[in-house]
Amino acid sequence: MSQEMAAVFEKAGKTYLLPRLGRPQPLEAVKGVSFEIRRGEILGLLGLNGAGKTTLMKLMAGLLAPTSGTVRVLGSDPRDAESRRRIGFLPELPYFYPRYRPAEALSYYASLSGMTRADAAPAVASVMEKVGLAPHAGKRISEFSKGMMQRLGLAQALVHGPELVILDEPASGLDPIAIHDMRVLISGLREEGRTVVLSSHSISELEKVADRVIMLSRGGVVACVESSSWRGAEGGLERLFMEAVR
Amino acid sequence: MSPRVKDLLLGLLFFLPALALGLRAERYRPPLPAVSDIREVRRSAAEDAAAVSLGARRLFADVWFIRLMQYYGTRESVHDERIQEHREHHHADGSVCDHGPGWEKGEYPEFIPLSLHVIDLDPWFHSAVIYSAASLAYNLNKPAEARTILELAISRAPREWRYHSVLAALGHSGEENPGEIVRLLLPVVRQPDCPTMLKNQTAFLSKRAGDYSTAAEIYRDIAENAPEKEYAERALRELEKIEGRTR
Amino acid sequence: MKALFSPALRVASHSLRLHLRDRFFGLFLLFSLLLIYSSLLVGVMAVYQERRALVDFGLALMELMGLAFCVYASATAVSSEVETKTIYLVFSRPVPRHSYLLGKMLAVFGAAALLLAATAVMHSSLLLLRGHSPDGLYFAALGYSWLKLTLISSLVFAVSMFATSSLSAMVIGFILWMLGHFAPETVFMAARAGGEGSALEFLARLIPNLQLFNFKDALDVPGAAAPPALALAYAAAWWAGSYGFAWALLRRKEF
Repeated sequence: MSQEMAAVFEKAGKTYLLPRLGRPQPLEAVKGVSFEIRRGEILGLLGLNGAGKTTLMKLMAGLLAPTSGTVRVLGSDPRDAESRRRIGFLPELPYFYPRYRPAEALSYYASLSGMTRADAAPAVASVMEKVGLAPHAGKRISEFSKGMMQRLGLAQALVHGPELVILDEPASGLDPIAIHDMRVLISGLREEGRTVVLSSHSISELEKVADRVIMLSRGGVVACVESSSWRGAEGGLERLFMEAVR
Repeated sequence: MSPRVKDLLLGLLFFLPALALGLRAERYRPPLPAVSDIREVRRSAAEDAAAVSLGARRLFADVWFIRLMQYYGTRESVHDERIQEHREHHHADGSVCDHGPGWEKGEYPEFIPLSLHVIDLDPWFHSAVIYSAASLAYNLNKPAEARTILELAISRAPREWRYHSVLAALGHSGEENPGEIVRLLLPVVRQPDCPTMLKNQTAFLSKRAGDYSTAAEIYRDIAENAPEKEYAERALRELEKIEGRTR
Repeated sequence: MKALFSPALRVASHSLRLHLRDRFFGLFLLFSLLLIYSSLLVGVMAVYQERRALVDFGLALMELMGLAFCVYASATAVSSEVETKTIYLVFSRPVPRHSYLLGKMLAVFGAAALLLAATAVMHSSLLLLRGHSPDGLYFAALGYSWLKLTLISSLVFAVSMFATSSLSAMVIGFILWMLGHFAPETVFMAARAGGEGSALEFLARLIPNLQLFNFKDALDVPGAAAPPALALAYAAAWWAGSYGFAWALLRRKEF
């Protein structure tokens, strides 16, 4: 695998076994997809509900194992400790212990990523500043709005300085100002040289921030488009998506 | 075989050391009566099941002992009726009724089943066993039943020396030898959690045997430590009498 | 070893803090203290057996409250993180599942020790206030209770890995607790009914013998409980068995 690639999917498939009385029922969520994610790019995953976006992200985060094909992340198996040390994952609608203060939660996750206490303290302060949580440091998480929770979610994915950041619906449920702030933050990650993979239902959001978009439908990749193909083109990304999934 | 079943079987293998150690630990069994030996009293089956399954036999033995004391501390209505009847009826020849020894002290038909129940739950509860035996022997005039209680307790808690001492003392109760009874009971009475009633009885027997210093020692203990106010007040009066006699 | 214990200790210290801040922990503690205080009444009713009644009630209440907390905490330790998806934030990091599981179990063991210690301080104070002093047997009984609680916690952890819900894991935990106090008799009856070495006897042996730890029920009985070394080894064997079982089921589990 080329060192230029942050992740490589080769005919990767994932079939869930749904518990049913008698015999488990298979559900093919991802069907033998192959694509690469370049280092330093912002890659968008676009698809309808059930298209397989979250499954692909979980495969990259090492939370799921492919049932066929291979997935490599930063040169190794995503379930290896070494690759997990170098990724940051924000699940959709993250939850944090409501009685914690943000720094407590971030310190815990920094420590789980292998950071020492001495390294974690400045990293926590810095990431809180970056995501705009520093003014709310004294609050308990139970007092946080949805937008602040999402910022905290992003902060935990970034606190250990990952090379690859995987964001599942980072703008979900946010108000327009929070969406704008999130977009600025994500763009900032590219400036820092990090690779970002994000999924979204929102075509306009991906259009503004992504360098490349992979379109998914029913577990398969139906198109992969560069930003140059939608910027300035009539109908933008939306037209391309409609053409791909119809 | 599905991976889940494989994992399950692999997981079960981890329990093998625990099972092996369980075999080795089998010889450590608490010397308490088996569940099947616990006799039911006052529909106690559910309570007894809770006592065993929660690992709280001692606690439930305490509860049953409290019930026993409350039962024995409550005047029987049948007892009052008998006294009333005795007062009201007259003999033509003016003779005095003879109802047998201790007739005025009551029957307390549940006293023995309750006592046995405490022993079934915790035969090492020496205070309760001694309380039951002493009450039966000295208050209710049922020395044979008292011996039965003690013999059962000894069969279940053979290393409890107090039971042997009290049983031996009961063996002398028919004789006119209070000194020997006191000698046997004194080590039991000197224990801090001995029932006050037995202390009181031993002090009385000491007095009868002419051993006033032992009687005074026991009465002083009762006066200072007995939680029952009546016993403490009576002990003080007895102490005054003994001091008056020896002055 | 460092690779196992370092993340495990991080998970343990975080989870312990969560347990201590959990309102259920506070409720169990408060309820225990109230019950222990109200046991003064029982002490009065027991007349000259006040010390015994207070000690027995206190030890039993501490253990039962500890049981309620441990069963609840063990049954929900992993499932609540799955439900809230916080487990994604853990397993997307370099935290081995065996370390995570060890950390979660250690946190419940630690919380059980703290719950027992807090209630024991209150109970001992009450005893001292009434002119009685807790002796070595009292503290030994507490130690055995802790072993018993940790053993049942580890089993509930194992059960929670395949139980359909936290509630069913809790119910199974309480049933195991009750059967555990009948264990020697169950084995005896199973051997009689099915014959020695039968499948029935084997099944009966799958129930841990909690009587070995029931020191509080035999404070006046010399040699009633298993010697401390054997009790510790027996508890450790069940911890290891439950841990291994839970790991075998968790290692391939997908979230």
